[in-house]
Amino acid sequence: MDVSSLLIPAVLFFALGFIAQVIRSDLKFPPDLAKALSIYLLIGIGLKGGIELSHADLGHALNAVAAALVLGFGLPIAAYAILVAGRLDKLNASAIAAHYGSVSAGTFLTAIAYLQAQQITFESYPVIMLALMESPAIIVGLLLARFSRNGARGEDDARENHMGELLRDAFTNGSVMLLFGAMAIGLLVKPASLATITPFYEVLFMGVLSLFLLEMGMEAGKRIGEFGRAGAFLIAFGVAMPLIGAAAGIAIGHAWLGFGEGGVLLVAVLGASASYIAVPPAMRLAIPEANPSFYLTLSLGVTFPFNVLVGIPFYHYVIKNLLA
Amino acid sequence: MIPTHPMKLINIVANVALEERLSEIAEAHLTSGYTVLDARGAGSAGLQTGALEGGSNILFMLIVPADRLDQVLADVEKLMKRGHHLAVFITDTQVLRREKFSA
Repeated sequence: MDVSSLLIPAVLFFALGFIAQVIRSDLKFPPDLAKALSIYLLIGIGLKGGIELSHADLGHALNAVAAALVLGFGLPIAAYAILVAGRLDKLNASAIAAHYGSVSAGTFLTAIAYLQAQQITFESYPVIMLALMESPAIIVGLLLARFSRNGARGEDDARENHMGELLRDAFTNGSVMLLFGAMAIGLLVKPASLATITPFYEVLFMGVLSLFLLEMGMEAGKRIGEFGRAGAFLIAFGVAMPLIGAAAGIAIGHAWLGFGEGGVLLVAVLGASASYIAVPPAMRLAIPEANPSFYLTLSLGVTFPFNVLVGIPFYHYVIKNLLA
Repeated sequence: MIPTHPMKLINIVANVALEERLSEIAEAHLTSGYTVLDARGAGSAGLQTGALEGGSNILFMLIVPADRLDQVLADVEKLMKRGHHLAVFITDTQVLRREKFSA
């Protein structure tokens, strides 16, 4: 593993934020900046996906869609099984599982920055997969929670038990709207018209990502204090689950989709990463009984730093050896 | 002296995702309005830094006449029974112009 591959702005800004927090620097970001940056980043990824989709091969695209659904539905079930086997209560297990079936756009973009720095080309289909993988995991989480609640509570009119309402929440989720909406715009608008906005979304993109990752590094650092509350089993899960997800992603990206080195790494990252933007608010509404401190600590405080600092170069190392 | 009128101020600290449900409760009880502030802090739901939606709180404030307090609180408690992490505290307050708060 070549450690110098980590010397890219995305990773170093993340590390800077993390260190600033750990040494208790008074560095602070204006309120709501991260939310604004994440809107920009999601639109940027969506547009890129739409533009790529407009000249994609339909057969390959459909294959990628199927693979995304397999990962999106399969990973949360695996995560749930592991968590319940570790004696975590079923509602917390359902909520955490949903986070691990979904994806982290921040991790995905860090992987793209990592590939670009090494001039490794990658297929564009994983961008489509990213957009698709937000919703299935939320749905699986909702179903698992519903299943867990059976018998535990009587019939009531709680909105948490209205499947229609919950599915609406899964598909009208803000991140899903932005990703799909921007993808549709990228697909429908003529390249000449798109050129009027692409400087904003392409030229500036990696710079904005570095700002976002700086703040996410600080957010991850703040979560260290919550490790005690989560406990050793959950912290270990936050490191083990991305390895399982990456293995599934590598298998699917390589054996099923037949991607090259770069594409397989992106699918591995889709499998390995856990959501911290789209899924937490969805779980707040859908599984209110679960403790947000568990799922936020795991996805943002453990899995995200693990993937950015260790996971991406490690998965790449495994993939290079596999393809050699 | 300008006359003031006694009322109850309900303060609810909740995740930002619950804002719509809380405003529905306020509207269902014909309260004349409510005020929402962004909030940060920590509690049973862990650290709420306000950076991302999943970790952002609001302070939902609602003023009602004392005779309407129980009905509103009953609905808020339903949310808590479903497992939502809320902190609710009620204070006595005085208002100018009673008619503004008892629509």
